Amino acid sequence: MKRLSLVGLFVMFMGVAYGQQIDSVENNTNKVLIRGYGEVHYNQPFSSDKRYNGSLDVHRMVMLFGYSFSNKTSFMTEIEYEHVKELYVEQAYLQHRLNSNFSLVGGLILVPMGFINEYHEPNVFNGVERPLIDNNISPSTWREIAVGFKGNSIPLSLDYQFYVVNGFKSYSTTGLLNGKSGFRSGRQRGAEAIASSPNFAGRVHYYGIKGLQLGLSGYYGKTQSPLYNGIEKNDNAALAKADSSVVGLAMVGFDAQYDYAGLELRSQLYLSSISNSDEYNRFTAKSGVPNDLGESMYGYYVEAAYNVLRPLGTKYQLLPFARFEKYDTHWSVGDVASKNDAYNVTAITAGLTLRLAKGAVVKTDIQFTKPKSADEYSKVLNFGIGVSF
Amino acid sequence: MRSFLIAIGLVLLFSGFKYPVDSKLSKDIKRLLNIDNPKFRRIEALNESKNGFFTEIESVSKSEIVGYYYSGRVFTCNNTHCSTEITESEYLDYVIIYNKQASVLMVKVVEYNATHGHAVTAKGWLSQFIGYAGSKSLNVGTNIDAISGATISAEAITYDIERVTRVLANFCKK
Repeated sequence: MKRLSLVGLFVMFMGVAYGQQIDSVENNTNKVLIRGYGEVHYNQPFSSDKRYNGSLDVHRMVMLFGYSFSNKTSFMTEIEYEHVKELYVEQAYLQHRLNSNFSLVGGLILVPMGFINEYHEPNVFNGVERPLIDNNISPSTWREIAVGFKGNSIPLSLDYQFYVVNGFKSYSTTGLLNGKSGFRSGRQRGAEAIASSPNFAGRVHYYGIKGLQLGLSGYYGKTQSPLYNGIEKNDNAALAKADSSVVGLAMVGFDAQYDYAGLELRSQLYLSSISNSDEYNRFTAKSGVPNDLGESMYGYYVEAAYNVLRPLGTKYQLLPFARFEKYDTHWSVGDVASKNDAYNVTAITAGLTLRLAKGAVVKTDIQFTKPKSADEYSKVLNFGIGVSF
Repeated sequence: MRSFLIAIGLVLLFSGFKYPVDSKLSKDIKRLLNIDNPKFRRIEALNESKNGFFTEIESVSKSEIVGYYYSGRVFTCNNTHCSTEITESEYLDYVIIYNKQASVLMVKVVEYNATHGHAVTAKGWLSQFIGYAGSKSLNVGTNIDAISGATISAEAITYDIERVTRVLANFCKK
């Protein structure tokens, strides 16, 4: 019993001491967080028989601001300039930690699909531009207003997130989705977005094996349409019309990352299934020509990179890399659209990433892309600088 | 006695204090240092750090110091370690257990409270620090494996492990 009392006293002493420590930390705290990232690109297409102009672009310049109201409650936002003159709010959410395993989140968030959409700073991925499947299948930077939770379990080596999120807009005065760009033009980005039915997004990420990270993402819901607005509840004709202006989307993503002694392997796979596409394609026909949204889409890539400077023990990192990518927004089509091989694309990207410092990269690559309908690969030489701080 | 225990309970509940009394840590200490009845004493001489503290571990049966542990908080605010720019909601709490030569036996993250970078809590990744005794500089990407998506946290904890281990190594030399 005496020992127990001693332990008790010890606990009390330590508890008080620790409490004081935390207090002093808080007094010292600057509650504002400022970060940013940006990338400047030069893309030069070339071929043996034609001239092409290059393009120079400050693709993205993003400032991130965070504020901690307490050690449980914080707000985070990203203000983004794309191509110098397009201004967006890329993220703006409030999060509140309930316990070590759960935080509530609400606001404009990045949809957790694969790892590129959430981790898209230029120093994170190889190649000047993001992988093509993160443009054409998962429309990165994909963000919408959502409410949900996220958390992690240290013993299980898992983190997880689940949101009720606003969906794509499929119709304005004309159809916004099609075979060429998939769902990309349907992103509402939290800008006066309309909501007609809720969507769901979730992701589980496992990191329990050294060097290996595995992710499973899911997305499910119907697109949003302005035609539902103001319909009489018994007006079946209007309801049927509105129903023709939306599609259902079910999407899964698998991703894997493996890092071992300078070797970096990355892979992502997306599969999308679209319902009601025939009805939608008929409804969004232009001058009698039906639209061409597919019934299913897929995309994947595998990539390997190796830091050749690692044996030298220098802080510079130079990574030659190669990425093989395939995607098809017309993996299958319904009865209305006919399969277009121009949307079935193979791409090979090879290049160099020079990491000058943590968060400062110079990148170059050459990208070969070929739709199944083309005879030859088109070639682009890319250069870029990227920073993240 | 009952009220005393309740008082302890209340202190535990409201102090936010989890370690070193957490049974899991004492289990780890017993296993790693091969002792039955550890006795803990704060090392006041090393108490200058605001974000953590060092503790001596004594074996009562051998009546000698058999190891040390460090319990602290790392703020994960930036690509490099935090200096004054700390944000109170982005942090992790962790523990390092050392042998009596101040060489790392175990690193364990006990609480992770940053938005991204959970992968630094993985036992496998943290096992890289076992055997570290402060003699060399640690650098993520060269002698410590980088983790994709956890750059900031990996940098922050690596910097802290090096810093803390060197403080303890200097103390043990004296």
